[in-house]
Amino acid sequence: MDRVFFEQLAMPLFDQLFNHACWLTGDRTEAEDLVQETYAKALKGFAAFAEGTNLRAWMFRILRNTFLTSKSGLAARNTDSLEDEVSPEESVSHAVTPELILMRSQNEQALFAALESLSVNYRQIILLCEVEEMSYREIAQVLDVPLGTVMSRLARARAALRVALSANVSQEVR
Amino acid sequence: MMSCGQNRETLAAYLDGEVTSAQASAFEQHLRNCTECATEIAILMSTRRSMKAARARFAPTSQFRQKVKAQIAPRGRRYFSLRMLPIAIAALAVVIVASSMLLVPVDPDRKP
Repeated sequence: MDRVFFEQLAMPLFDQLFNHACWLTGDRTEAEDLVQETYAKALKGFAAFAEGTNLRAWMFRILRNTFLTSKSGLAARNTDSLEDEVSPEESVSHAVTPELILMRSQNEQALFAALESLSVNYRQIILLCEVEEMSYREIAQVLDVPLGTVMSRLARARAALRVALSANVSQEVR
Repeated sequence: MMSCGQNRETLAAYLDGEVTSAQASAFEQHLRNCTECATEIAILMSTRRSMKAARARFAPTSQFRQKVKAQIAPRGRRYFSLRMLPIAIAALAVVIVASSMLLVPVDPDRKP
C-alpha cells in the first residue's frame, strides 16, 4: 500500500528531479544514478515520512544529500567552501554597465553558461528559487539551513551570477 | 548594499514575495525615486524570465522513467519475476499440445 501511495506522490516529481540532478552533476549518466538512488532512499524512508509535510522539499533534500556524498559532490564541496568566502560584488567590472547586464540576462544561452560556471551551492539555490519557484522556507528545508542563511546565500549567488554574466560581456567587448 | 542604502537581500525578498505587505508598500515608494534599485529589479526580473527555460533543459528518457517506475512499483505489479518461470513454461506446453491436436488431419472415411 505504501508503495502505491509513494508512486502516486513521487513520480510527478520525476522530471523536475532529473532536470535538477543534471544541473548539479553536469552529466546525464551521473544524474540518472543520482535520481535512481534518490527514489530508492525515499521509498525506504517513506514509512517515516509524515503525511501532510512537504514531499517535494523532502525529495529534493534527499537528492542533494545523495549528491553531496557522491564523488563529484565531494569535489564540489571542497571548491564551494573556498568560493563562498569571496564577495562577488567586488569582482564586478565597472566597465560593464547595468544596462549591458540587463541585456545579457535576456539571452538564455549566456545565462545558462553563467549559471553553469557558478559553484554548486550558488547554482543550486538559484535553481531552487528561480526554476523550482520554492519559497525561502522550502529552500531552507532542502538545504537544511536557517532562513537567514537562505537570504544571504541567495543574494551572494545572484551577485555571483551577475559577475559571471559581466565577465562574458567583458570578454566580448575586448 | 546599494548606494541608496537599500539592502540587496530585502530587494530580492521583495521580488520573491517574501516581505510583508507593509514592507512591500514602503519599498515600492522607494522604487519611484531610486533608479539604481529600479534597474536592479529589472535585471532580477529579466533573469527570472530567461531562467524559466532552465526548467525543461534536461528531460529523462522514457526507458529511464520505466526503470525507476519498475523499481518503486508495488510488488504485486512487477512486470516479470523469475519465480513465475515454471508456470510460464507449463502454460506454454499446454498451448503447444492443444494446438498440435487441432492440427492433426481428420480422415473423412473414418467411422465413428
